[in-house]
Amino acid sequence: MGNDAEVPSEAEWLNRVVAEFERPLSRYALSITHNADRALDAVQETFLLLVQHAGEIDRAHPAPWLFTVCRTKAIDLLRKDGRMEARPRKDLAERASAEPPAEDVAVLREDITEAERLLALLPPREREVLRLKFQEGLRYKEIAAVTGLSISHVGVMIHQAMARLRRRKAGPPNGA
Amino acid sequence: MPQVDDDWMETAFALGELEGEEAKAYARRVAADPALARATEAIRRQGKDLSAALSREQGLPLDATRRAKIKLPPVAVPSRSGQRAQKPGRATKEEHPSSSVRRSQPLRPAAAQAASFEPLDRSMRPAGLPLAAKFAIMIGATVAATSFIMAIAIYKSVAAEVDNEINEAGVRTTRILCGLDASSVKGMNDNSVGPAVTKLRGDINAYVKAVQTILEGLAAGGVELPKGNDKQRKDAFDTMAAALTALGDAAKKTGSGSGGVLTGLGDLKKAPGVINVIITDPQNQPLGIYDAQAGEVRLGKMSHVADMHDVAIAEGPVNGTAAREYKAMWRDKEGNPAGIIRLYLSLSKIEQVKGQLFTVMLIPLLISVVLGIGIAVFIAAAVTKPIQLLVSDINAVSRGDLDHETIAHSKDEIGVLAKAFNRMTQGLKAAHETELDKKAAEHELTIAAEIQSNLLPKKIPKIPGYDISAYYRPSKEVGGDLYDFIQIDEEELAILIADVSGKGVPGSMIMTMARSLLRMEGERNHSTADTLVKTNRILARDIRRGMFVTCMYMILNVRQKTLLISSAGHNPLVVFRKQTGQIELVNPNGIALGFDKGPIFERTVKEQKIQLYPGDRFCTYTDGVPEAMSVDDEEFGDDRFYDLCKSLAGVDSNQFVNRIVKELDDHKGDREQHDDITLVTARLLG
Repeated sequence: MGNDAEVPSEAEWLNRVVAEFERPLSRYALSITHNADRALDAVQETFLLLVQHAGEIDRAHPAPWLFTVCRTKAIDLLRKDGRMEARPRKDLAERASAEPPAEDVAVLREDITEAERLLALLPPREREVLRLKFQEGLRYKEIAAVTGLSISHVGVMIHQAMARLRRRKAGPPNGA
Repeated sequence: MPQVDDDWMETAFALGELEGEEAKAYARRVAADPALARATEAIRRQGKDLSAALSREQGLPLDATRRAKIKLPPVAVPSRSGQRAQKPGRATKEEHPSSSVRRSQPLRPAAAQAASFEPLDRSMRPAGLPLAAKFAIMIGATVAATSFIMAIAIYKSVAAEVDNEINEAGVRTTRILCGLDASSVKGMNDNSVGPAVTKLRGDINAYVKAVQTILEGLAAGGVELPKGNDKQRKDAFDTMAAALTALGDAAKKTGSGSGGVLTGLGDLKKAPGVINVIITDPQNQPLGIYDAQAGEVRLGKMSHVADMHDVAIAEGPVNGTAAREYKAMWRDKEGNPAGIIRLYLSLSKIEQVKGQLFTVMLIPLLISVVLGIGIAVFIAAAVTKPIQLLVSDINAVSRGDLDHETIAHSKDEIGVLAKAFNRMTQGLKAAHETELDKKAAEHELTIAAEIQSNLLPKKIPKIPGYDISAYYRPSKEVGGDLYDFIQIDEEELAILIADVSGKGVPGSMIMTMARSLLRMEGERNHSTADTLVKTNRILARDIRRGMFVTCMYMILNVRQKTLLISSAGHNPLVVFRKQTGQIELVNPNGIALGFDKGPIFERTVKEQKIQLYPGDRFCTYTDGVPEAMSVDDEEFGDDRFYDLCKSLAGVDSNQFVNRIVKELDDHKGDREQHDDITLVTARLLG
């Protein structure tokens, strides 16, 4: 029965996953919804699906599945609310990268986190992949699965984002 | 930006995202190029810094409401102290900067909840050998045992058959040998050969061949003996008999029996089964020995096996090999014992036949066992599959999903079990819903009771010269009884008692309405009938169809000592006259409030005035009093109540009420009170 103790039961596993991922998922969802309530709603729905589909998920690496579902749920909630302005979708991402980043505006917000300040300069999509890479520790492959991009696209975005951050550190942005 | 496409690989390499050949190639490039090495190191550092900065953002834990909605399955709690069985390896794995906070907070409530449940997963997982394997082993073992027993039986019977066949051959040979003329045995080792002997030799050869054929046939034929053998054998014996007759004749002719006859036995060598033949005189002195292996014959201890005709069969070693001995008395022509003939056949031949037989039997045995196990596995899987499905369905239900249904795929016991399980689930669901309904109803009753108790007058008016008392006791299912006193002016006091047809909250609502209307109207109206009419006008409009209120409305003129009475279909007023010592029932015409919106009610409702004299008592009540049920389904009854009123009329009003209530309680015994009981009584003192 020693073997039995080694493999956690489904209930144990689910509880552990929820405990382990509730905060990472909520901060990720928050970065999409910009609203704590909606972020937690997305996390709740993610876990609801997790419980229902517990049997189909790779127990050793639940992260890609969790972030994928959470992302979909967060975006769904945004759509439902009609809060299109907070949507970090392609059109917005492109516009944001074309415009000079509104860093001064971001700094004015009191509840801004260090992470947000750090990433404020970047277009939303680069922000997202950077978060998945450095905040959640996902691999390129996993990020690609979560965001629906190709692995090389993820690589390019991370490279560009990091380069942009390095440039900013070295000198003030030139608005390009 | 073509250069970007190339550069991203560099970042990927620095972040450890490249694999295989690409990674190796980059590693070589980095080793060769110090500038590139510095760049990758810078990227790596930047990555680390980013990780550190970003992971300081903690994220939010789920709140209790959302957590509850996830329906996380409970985890077993080993002890009350909350010690979770943590594996050392896992504990270190979870040591994230924020994990200690994370884990301790959200897990506790779920774990605490779980304490009342049996954890599903571990106990519901089948342990030990699966049912299918047990089935397979059981059926396989049965098939194997059956096949084995059958094989043994067949083998035994065939082996016996073979044995018998060989015995018969041995006996026949022995008897043929017995037919030899005693005289011709002498000089058996003499090698001189006459023409008769040559013939005999030829005959013996034929016989030997026949015996050989039989033995070979037995050895090769396995279970079935070749059919042709019998005929061949017969032919051989016929030939032999002829040969022996000829031999006898030859012996006679030679007279002296110059011998050489038994040298013919040397040809027995060609028969592989025959070891030797020993012929002795009655004193056991050897007359002739044929030894297939030539040389000394060593006979071991022979144990007797059977007798066949007059040949005794025994087994034992001859020259070290197992042999079967066929021993027969050799008699001369006159029938006197001339000696003993012993024929020894090798048992190894017999064993060989038996061994081959066994091999032949073993193959079908093994095949049947393998087949049996295969079929068993198939059957077991077919049997246990629906059980596994059912278990998963049961697990779903035990997680609280009472709408989950299992589908019965068969009509056998499992199908019945599935149906029974569905029925159980539905029963559980129904019970659960009933429980909820019951709780809701109880809640409703609590509210209704609260409303009602607030409506009843807090105290009984004290009027000089009058002794007034009232009693009210709600039933468990709140009824709609009501009584009230309305002070109209210094002279007049309105007394009302009412019974609403509905119960629970709806009844209470009607009662509230009726009470307010009566109060409003009663305070300014000196006519009982008019008060009821006006109350009815409004109430009948608002009341739900089928609901009604019976009411006795009275105005007591304190100074004139008169009582003006109107009834809206209520029980009569009981008036006790002290002067006569009798009861009068006052019941003015009237229909219940709420039945009719106006004209009929107005036409029906009447007023009646009675004069009260000192010592007179009147009492009004609701039907909960006469209809109080005993354990034997017996109503208390109007007459009994009237008699009681009569006998108690003299006591003071509080006592009057208490005594009546006590009588009612005695009557109903353990039976539950099914309707409200309300009593209002007054006595004119003096």
